[in-house]
Amino acid sequence: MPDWVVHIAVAWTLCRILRFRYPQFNPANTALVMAGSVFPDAVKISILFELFGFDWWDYIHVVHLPLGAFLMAGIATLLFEEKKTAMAFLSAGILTHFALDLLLIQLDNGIYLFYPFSWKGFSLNLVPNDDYHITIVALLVALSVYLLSLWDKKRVKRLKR
Amino acid sequence: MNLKTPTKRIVVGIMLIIILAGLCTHYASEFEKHRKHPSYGAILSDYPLGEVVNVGGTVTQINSTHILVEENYHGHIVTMKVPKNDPIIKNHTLSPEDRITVVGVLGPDNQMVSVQEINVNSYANYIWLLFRSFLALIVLVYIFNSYWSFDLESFQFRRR
Repeated sequence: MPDWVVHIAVAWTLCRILRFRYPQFNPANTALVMAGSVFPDAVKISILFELFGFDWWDYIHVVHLPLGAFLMAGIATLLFEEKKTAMAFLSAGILTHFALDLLLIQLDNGIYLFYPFSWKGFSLNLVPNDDYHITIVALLVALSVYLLSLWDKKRVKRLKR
Repeated sequence: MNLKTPTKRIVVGIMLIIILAGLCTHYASEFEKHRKHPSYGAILSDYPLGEVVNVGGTVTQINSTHILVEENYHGHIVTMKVPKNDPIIKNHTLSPEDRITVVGVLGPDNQMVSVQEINVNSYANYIWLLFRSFLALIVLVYIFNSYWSFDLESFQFRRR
């Protein structure tokens, strides 16, 4: 996996860019996208089980596939007052997660994007999964977008005066 | 469907959990058949001698001829021997505790006779990745909590 810094930073960056045009990507909804971006990595709970000698990876791997992740988002959505909004923005986060994970180098089939309808795996085989350079790039891009948003805020304020 | 009453939410939640559990069971029983190369499941049941297999695990020992790789596969501890002098292995620096995935030809006695591909995740990088991710999780919880609050009475998150 790219680490969660990358997943969360990319989700935030995309939402912040979209917010220039679409006010729906407000900070609260952005927080939902950011949460959704790490949903599929709920499978990493297996790391804790591993410490106690249990191998659960294969049993819960479905949550790291799109359908399983969307089902988890559906379950989480039941805990929100605005269910449609929560489902939409959590799902957007899940999509960013898989877009990033597709970049990873895989020696096996890759991600079964269309499981259980197809066992065709997808992978672009570009980045090793412990590469921290992608983390640095994601943070730099997020910082640039943040600075741009500050500049834009000031510009709008000036125009209003 | 109106999901405003707690009963309906619970019913829908249980239905979704059952579907998810069904998919998990189906995946766990089927995925080995669809792998590019057989792995531990096949090694433990049919032992595909001479076939290309994909195995992974933690490096436990490096001696003059072999690298020992150990994996807990569904409760079975399996140890594989990977030839240290294979040209592909020689291109990588390995240390105990590193996690590796190897694609190669399976020989007798859990030994790989040749290596075609290898993916190495060093232990130090792995720990650093977990640490970064843990920090990111703390930031995420802080941000989420700034915009959403949990109302215990309605058992729902609401915008602050």
